[in-house]
Amino acid sequence: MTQHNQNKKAVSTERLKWLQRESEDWQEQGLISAEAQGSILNLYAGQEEADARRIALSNILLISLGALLIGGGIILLLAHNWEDFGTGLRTFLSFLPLVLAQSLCWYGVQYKPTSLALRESGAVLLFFAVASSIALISQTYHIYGDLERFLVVWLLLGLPIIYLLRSATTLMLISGIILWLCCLEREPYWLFYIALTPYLYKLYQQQSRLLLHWSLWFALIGLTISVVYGSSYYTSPLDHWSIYIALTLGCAYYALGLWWFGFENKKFWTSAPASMGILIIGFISLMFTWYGRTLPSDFWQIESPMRFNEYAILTLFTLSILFTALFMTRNRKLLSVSNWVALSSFAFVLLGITGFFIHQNQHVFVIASNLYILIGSVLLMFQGINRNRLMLLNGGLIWFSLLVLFRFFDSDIPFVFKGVIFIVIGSAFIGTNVWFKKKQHAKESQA
Amino acid sequence: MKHLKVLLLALFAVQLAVPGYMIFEQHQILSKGTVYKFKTQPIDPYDPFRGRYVTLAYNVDANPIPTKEVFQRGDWAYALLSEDEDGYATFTQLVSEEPEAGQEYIEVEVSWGGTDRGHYIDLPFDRYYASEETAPNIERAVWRRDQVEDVYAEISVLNGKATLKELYVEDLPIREYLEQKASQAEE
Repeated sequence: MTQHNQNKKAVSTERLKWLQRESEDWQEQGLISAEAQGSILNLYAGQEEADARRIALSNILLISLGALLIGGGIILLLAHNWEDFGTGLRTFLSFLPLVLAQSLCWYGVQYKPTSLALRESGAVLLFFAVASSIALISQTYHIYGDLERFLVVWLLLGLPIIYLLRSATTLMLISGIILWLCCLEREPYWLFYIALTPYLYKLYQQQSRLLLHWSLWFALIGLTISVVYGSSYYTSPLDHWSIYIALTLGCAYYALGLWWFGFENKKFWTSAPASMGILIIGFISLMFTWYGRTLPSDFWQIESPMRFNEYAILTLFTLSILFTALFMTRNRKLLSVSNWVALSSFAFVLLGITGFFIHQNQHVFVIASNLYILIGSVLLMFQGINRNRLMLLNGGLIWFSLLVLFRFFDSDIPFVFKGVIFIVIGSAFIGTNVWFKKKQHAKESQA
Repeated sequence: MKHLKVLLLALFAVQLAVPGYMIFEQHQILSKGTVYKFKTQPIDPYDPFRGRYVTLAYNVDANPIPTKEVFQRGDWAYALLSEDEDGYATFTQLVSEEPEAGQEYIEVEVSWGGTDRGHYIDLPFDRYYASEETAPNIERAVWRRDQVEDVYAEISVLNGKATLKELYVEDLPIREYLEQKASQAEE
């Protein structure tokens, strides 16, 4: 299955045959050249071909999963600690899976260079064999070293597999390992995600749909959790900044998604950066609606000094702000209403940063964020109805419902006040709906 | 493609060399190193990749090591080795310069402390791997005793690197000790 094939539009076999017949007629009549006919036909793939493609892709997925389980199984078997085996046998066993996996990979590269399934499964097995080898040796010799060191060695020995065997499954596994490391230690291990970007870009260029999206989701979720977790621990000088860092990452992902996959991409799954951005923006904006959020504090405190990790996160924060701002100014005419709803949350980042210099009242944030979600979610619902896009409608509904739910349980607002707001907004909803219906009726009767 | 294959072979070589070197280094220390006895108390945790192990809490770790120099937490330093009157290992001092030949030492990571009261350290041999059955048994066998005077680990030391040779209870290697206990219980 070539990469090119994956881009073809799937149509039923009858339609494809019809198109073949017709295009031959057109060519005979001199409407199009033989070349043009070829390239038109090349745009489409028959259903069988599309089915074959889907089966091939699901094969890769299943084989990779199989390899994953086998690799994990080998590690578990060795972790049992077969203490009755002598050192010689244990040494042999530490190299056996590694050599076998390497042979499989070599066989794939040398004799079956086109088999994606063999390459992916070989790479996954090799990745796990490296771990089992180091693990068994540490076990045999009681080698010192906590989980962190073990994971770092594994990561470094496994990282080249992504590039040399072109394995996306290994990339996902490594995304997980980096995330694990970031959760173990507050060190800037998330910088390892940079080492994954060239491969992600290559997948993007190849338009490798399935693997690209899975890999992107894994990498983005890992990066977000690592960075936010790394900035939010107790006594970190970035502690009070993590909410703004998270929101900036969300906006930057969203902008990146629009930039990479175009403004017209409507599917949630196939635009991982934009979708991830939406999730972060929706969640963080809801967090802003509560009182008790701490205002950003000075970075350079005496009791908790800035270290490399903090400087690295701060650099990422600054780059994300610059990228988002640049994207918004350059594409302001292309952005739709729903795009603007998402990206205007960026204002809270700016408000937060200015709040660091000019002390603001907390009410400003709480009122602004409540209004933002209220107006934003209603706009999204309208857009969803008008443009007949269910995802926008549902997204707006969920966002709005969460806001209502949060305010219902908000103990900072007196009951009477809450009750009045609820009734007013509820009436406004019904009123607008009635007005909207009437307007449509008027339009229909005019037509 | 040619380059890729060469690089792939290089990666394979590195992947084989790292565990190979780990084995070589351990062998060197075990065969050529000086053996010290460290008094210890084991407890039994779990590692997802390497299985069960016994964490060894050493008596030498109970007190900070005196030092004249200033260390930060996480720095690497050299702990000078000596033996007390009972033949167990002790640390005399923490220094930043590698000691000259003749003085045995272990390279350690500096933990909490200060110049005035000395530093605690992380000993690089605090894990004893054992099977799922043995590890809890080791812990139980040792903790059930009121006096843990006679539990110690034999550590082989060579050029600052140290590796765990065997764990002893009542001067018996731990496995022999457990077997003896088991046969005594049957009788």
